[in-house]
Amino acid sequence: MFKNKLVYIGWVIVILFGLGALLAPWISPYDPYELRLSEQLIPPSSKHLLGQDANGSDIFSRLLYGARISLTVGLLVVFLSGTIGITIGLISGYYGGVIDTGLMRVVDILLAFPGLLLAIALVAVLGPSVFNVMIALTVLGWVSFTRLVRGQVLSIKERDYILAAKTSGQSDFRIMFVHILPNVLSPVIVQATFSVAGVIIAESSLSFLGLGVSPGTPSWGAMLSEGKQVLLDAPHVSIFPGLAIMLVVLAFNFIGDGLRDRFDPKTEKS
Amino acid sequence: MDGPNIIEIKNVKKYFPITGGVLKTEKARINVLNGVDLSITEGEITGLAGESGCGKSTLAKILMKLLAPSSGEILFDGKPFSDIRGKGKRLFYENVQMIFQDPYSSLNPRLKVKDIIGEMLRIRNVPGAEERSRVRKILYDIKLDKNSVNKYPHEFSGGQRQRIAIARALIVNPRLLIADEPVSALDLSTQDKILELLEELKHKYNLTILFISHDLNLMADRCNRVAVMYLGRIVEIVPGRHLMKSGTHPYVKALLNSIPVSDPSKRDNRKKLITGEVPDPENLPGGCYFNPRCPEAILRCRIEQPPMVPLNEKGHYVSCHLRAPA
Repeated sequence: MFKNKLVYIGWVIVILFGLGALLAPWISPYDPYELRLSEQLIPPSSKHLLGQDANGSDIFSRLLYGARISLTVGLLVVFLSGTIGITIGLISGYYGGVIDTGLMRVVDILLAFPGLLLAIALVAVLGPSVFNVMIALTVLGWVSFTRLVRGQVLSIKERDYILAAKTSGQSDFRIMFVHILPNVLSPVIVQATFSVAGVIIAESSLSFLGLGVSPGTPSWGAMLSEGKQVLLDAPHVSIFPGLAIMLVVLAFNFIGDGLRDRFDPKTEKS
Repeated sequence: MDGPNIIEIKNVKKYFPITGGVLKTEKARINVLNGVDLSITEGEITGLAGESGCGKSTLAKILMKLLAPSSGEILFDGKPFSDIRGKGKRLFYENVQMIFQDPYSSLNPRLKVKDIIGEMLRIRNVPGAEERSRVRKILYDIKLDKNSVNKYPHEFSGGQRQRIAIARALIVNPRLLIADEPVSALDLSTQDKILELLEELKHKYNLTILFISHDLNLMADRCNRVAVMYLGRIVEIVPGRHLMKSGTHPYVKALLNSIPVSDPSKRDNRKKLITGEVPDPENLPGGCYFNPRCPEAILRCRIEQPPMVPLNEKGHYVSCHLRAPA
């Protein structure tokens, strides 16, 4: 029961942040880029709900706009790396042999690198921008999907219904996407929700390090980084973006936990 | 019953290598099929019997082109099996179809019945309207309610699922149906119904059937010919109606003796039951594969592998030194 409630809380948080991001231009009380240099680092007040940052901009408005970047990057990267990872995992598991060995060595190499370090290196080469951050995180992200899907494919590809599909005369492509994929999707969906949380943290980390958004753009990681310089004088500048990251990541993890329980065959029938 | 042979299997062997080490060198071989000769005659029900692990299902998979034989030759309509590839394979699967032992794993749990059966036509570019009418017709043939089309496999019993599997195989009008233990996962009352259905469909669809089973009683009743397999070789081929009385190979006799008799007064306590285990397929015994367990084995059985020889004019063949006519 308790777990179930957490799932609902997770959904509520994600939906609230999602709506906030979507409606940011209409519901944010101030322009997130507006400079009010006379009102630097003002703590939360009735006019500015979460206070003002070093440039005097409204933190609440910036958080709403920041949610756009965090959620877009999170969902888009997971969608891209999921699509690539699932396809490669299907091919690797289904064909086996040399193809499988080759692809799995590539996966091993990518997994052997410390993830964030590789992302930093990639962004350093490509140049800092949100787009390049997404490319770097996709390059890192697909391997976990490939690993997962490949294992699942190996476990079901000798089932009789897959053999029956092979002896129906249909193409390998169709067997992979019509017969195998739907039967291995449940753990992949769970993995995807956890990945969204991971990607949001990674994007924040990269932005914190100055490798993400261009300076001044509201992103949770970048806001955290700006607050770092005034941490002792005005903790609210870093506390609120930090809280936002924590809440969203926690929410996606709750959803992931819930989905995992749901797809677990042992609890399926209750 | 002397139609043309739809399939001829000639000295087919299949082994699976066990590899090890960094270089994946072959360390040992699991010899599953050790020279199988069998032909499947058009219009007949050919039975293939044997214990678990004797290679029945491997042979079925080879005949379905799911596995390639290690050596030997298979002819389909007189043409070599190895020539069937690429587009020819789809055509081949319109001629040969298979039903599996376990109806709980042979249907994709995420597809509806209409898609499981209809897919066979859809991938052959049959128009939607024709597909629907043919699916309706075959559901009638397998005696399944026509409202079943929108249900998922888990909504059906084992027997109903096996009917769906049969429908999927027959909707392309194949000539040969390979039935790999089609009823051994079902309870007795359902077994009979499925067997009767198969027999009825055999006439309706002009089928040739390769019926794989370990139940000799059942095969004696329904098969034109029964081939009994031991350790990847066929030891005896006998017309089904003669199986119980004239089955003569020591292994076949032991199998027949092990069938339980329900009437206590007819039980024969002197019957010899088979002893020992099936030899390890990694290290096959020399000579006749059955000699380590055979109560009648003589020296020759340990040295020389017996050839398959005809016993009479009725199509009874046996591979045994002791039974071969002098």
